[in-house]
Amino acid sequence: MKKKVISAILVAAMMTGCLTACGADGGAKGKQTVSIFVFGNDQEQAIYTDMFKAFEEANNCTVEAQMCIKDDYNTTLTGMMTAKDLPDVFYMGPEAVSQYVANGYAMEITPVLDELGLSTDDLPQDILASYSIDGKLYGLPHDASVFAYAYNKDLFDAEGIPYPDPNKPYTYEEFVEICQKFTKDTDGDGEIDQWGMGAANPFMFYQYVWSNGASFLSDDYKTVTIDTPEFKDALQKYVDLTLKYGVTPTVEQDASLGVYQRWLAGQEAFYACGTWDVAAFMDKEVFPYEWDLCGYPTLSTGISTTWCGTVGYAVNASTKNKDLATKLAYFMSADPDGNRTLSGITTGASIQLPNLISMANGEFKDAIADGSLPFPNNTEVFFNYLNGSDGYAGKFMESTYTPNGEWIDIFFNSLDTVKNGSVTVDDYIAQMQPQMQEALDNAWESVQ
Amino acid sequence: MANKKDIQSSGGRYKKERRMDAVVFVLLAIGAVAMVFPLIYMICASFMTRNQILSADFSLIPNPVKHGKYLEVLSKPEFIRGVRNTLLVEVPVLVVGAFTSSLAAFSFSKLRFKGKDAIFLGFLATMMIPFAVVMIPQYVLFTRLGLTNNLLPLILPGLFGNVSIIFFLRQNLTSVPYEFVEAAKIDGCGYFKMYYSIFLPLMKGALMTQVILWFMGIWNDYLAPTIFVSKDKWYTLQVVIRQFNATYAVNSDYPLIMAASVLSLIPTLLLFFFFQRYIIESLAISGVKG
Amino acid sequence: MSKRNEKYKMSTAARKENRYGLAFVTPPFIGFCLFMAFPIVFAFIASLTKWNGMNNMLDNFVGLRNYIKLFTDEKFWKVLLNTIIYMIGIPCGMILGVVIALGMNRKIRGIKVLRTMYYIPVISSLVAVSILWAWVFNYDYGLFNSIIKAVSGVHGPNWLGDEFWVKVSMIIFMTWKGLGTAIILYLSGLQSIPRDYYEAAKIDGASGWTLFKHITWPLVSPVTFYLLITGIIGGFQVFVEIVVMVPNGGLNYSAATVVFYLYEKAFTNNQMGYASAMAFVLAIIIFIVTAINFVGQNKWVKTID
Repeated sequence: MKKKVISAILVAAMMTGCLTACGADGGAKGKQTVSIFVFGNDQEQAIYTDMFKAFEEANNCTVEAQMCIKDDYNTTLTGMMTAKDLPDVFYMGPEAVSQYVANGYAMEITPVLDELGLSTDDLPQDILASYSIDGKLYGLPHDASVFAYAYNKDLFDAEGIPYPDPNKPYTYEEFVEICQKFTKDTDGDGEIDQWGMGAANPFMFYQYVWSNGASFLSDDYKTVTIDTPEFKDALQKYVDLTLKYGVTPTVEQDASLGVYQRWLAGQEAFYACGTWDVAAFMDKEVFPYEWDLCGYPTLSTGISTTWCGTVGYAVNASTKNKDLATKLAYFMSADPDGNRTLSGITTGASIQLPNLISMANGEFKDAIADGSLPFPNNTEVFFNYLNGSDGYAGKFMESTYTPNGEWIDIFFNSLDTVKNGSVTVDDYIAQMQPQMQEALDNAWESVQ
Repeated sequence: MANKKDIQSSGGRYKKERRMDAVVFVLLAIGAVAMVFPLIYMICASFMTRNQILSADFSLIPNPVKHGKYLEVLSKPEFIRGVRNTLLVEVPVLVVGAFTSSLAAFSFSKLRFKGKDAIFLGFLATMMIPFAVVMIPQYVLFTRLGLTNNLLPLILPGLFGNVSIIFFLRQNLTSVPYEFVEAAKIDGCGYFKMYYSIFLPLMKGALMTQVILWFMGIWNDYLAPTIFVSKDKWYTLQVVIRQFNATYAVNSDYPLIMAASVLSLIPTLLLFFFFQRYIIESLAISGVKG
Repeated sequence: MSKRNEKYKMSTAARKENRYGLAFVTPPFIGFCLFMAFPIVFAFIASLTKWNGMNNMLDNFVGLRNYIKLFTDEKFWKVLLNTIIYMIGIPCGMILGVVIALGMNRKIRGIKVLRTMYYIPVISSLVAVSILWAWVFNYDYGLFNSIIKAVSGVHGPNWLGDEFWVKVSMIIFMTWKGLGTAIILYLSGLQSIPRDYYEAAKIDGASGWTLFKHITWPLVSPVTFYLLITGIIGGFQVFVEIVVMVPNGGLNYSAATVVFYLYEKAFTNNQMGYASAMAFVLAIIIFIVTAINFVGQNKWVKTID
């Protein structure tokens, strides 16, 4: 018996020991090691893995990579910060730059880049600016993404409606009218099963606010400004799509099958398409319809506006190997082969636009033109939003500039009560504004 | 005559009882089917096509029957890894934890030492402390020690024993007369030997049941792994299942999600079927006498 | 001489026992210190700071401000109320449990199979059954609304998307998940009631409801008490089912529980100090409610002597 107990303990101890060993160090000896932590879906993770391999070969080092899905990233990263166990390279959004710099997590990278002779000239300058404080650069963009609008060509063909003109986005009134033509019961069972559009609140409401000249926050991002007439008007117009015109699935219908799934099922004429969605939408297994890009409808300003996003690579301020870590960050951001892979020039599956301006204007467009890269025809919609040209504009979400996003979550958490008609726009704004302001105040207070 | 009447009437009562029994059984059976119906539905759905699940007409029988989803789940490295990681937590925790818990239970029940009651009360009080209170500090502790990139945060606490098992085993030993200890002392038996040669065999059955319940608890745990394990390659099964749900719902791949959920239930269900007599007995003891 | 010697001897033996006794409880004691006592102290200190996981905790001392803020935090009161509303499931489970246990407390062949079926939800993984039930509650394709539509022709409620129905959904789910435990405990409680109690009462002419009210129910009161205590302690900690079924906390935060809110504060919004204060208040609430229950138990919890 004694022996049994002792051997059992030994087994357990050995297993535990083995676990620590495996967990702590996977790298080979002799080579330099650089660690990186990124997020992505299965497909992206596979691409990153290949890129890490290429980097390892080119620099004779070991890349110790950790990857997770997007939702879990921030929690894990905060844990690493708490533990003072940050990887050498990690993601940092523009919203985090000031905090990460103030708390000593992100390193200024310009000097190292200069030393290594790596240039940032071919990267989009206004995106770089979002990773800079007082002219000092702390991050390199992983991507610059755009959340554009898309339409299902097959549905337009079926209804005999001309395609939207990317050079002239619909006005709100025109848009409603078009959407109404699509909204119908196609199989005659008495229930509507095809809609003009699907609206996922947290992603597709900003467009109405901004195009109406309104905003969630004041210019200093300290005051919630949702009680302006422009904002209320934008909200009214947005909920009217569901409530008054009924051109979107109802709140209940959305609860049973999300608007995204309904778009994939060909039940909606308009839906959004982020730059990261292109590969999936071009894949006939995922989306068996013809489609193209277009602009969001315009409100009072007449400018079609959507949100852009970016996440960047930061280099750990206390990394043991500044050069290698910076090299890796630069490689992930600006390596031509990496850019070709992610933008789909070499793979035919695009999950982001090239970061390199010369490539975006050259190879990328050529690949689309010669058909080697499956991409919607109206590519310029993405670039117009990104560059703010031809009646288009792109912005960062306002939560990008605040220490946390609790205040905006509050707004979207109950927006469906307006959408289903149980609360009026005025009441909703009156109810939400103080709550959001309080959360925003708390957020600012928490970092001061 | 009187005798015969008696028999008749009792026969009548017997018949009435029988009829009552049948009615009760049918009612209980309906309830039982209702209880497991969602699970049956889950199993059926895992064999359906996506379109059948998303069709307007409700159906229970898969048509056509697809079992490819199970192969798909089993071929996903995350899933297998999740099972492996869960087992890597289970084995050391259960082996060492069972030992430390039973040893402490023996000590609390049969040995006299200073501060015994105070320590025991302290342990009992922890059963009331919500995990939410300790989760943030534990998280900080584990991250500061650099343990969140492996499974140790899930293993370490268990190695030191489990309060509810100590409590249960201690209750279990109260029925063992103190004379056992005295007799052993007279024989010159050491305390550790007393534990493993007399008391451990005595609580073997109860301990086994508790270990099975603990196994299920670890198998089904979600909150601790989701907070304490940051490296995806160390995710335990429940975290993996939850991620499947988040990832594949976007493509409405509900059959896959259902198949993964079904697979994750199988081990605990099997254990329960094999050991249900003991499990139910020990549960009843903690509820009625505890 | 010999007496002194004996005394000396006894105390060596006692000391030895003392030493071994302590040694044997040392592992759980260390675990207790590391994973309970230390965290509790730490959480208390953290609750007095504006710590966000990134900054230095002790530099951001704010005194009792987190606690004061908590009392004016409408969202906190809302989630606390939600959490308490979910506890309606506790009496539901008790009533169903005792009724079913009464049915099972008969010598019918095959009853054990049914008992097993009722118990299956208890041992099933919470994550897996929550995923399943999210589907059961689906507005268009779910089991419930399909059945409702087939039976009545009317479309059922938006279970998880409506502020009222989401609570009903959760109560149904929790009752389903926990019913097996209540049945098994009541069954063993019923089986421990001596038959002659009933015989005596029957001679007095009591029957049915009276028997239940005056004999059965009082004599299973220890089980009721146990279910109440464990139900309340567990009920205050509901988290996983919410996070799986209504990941955003429900329309207007109607489904969120205290631990859900706390988790969000700590790990999403990085307000670890505030979250610690909330955890402490939660612990105090649980302590008070449990203490009240224990004090009150003398009034209604009977034991069989």
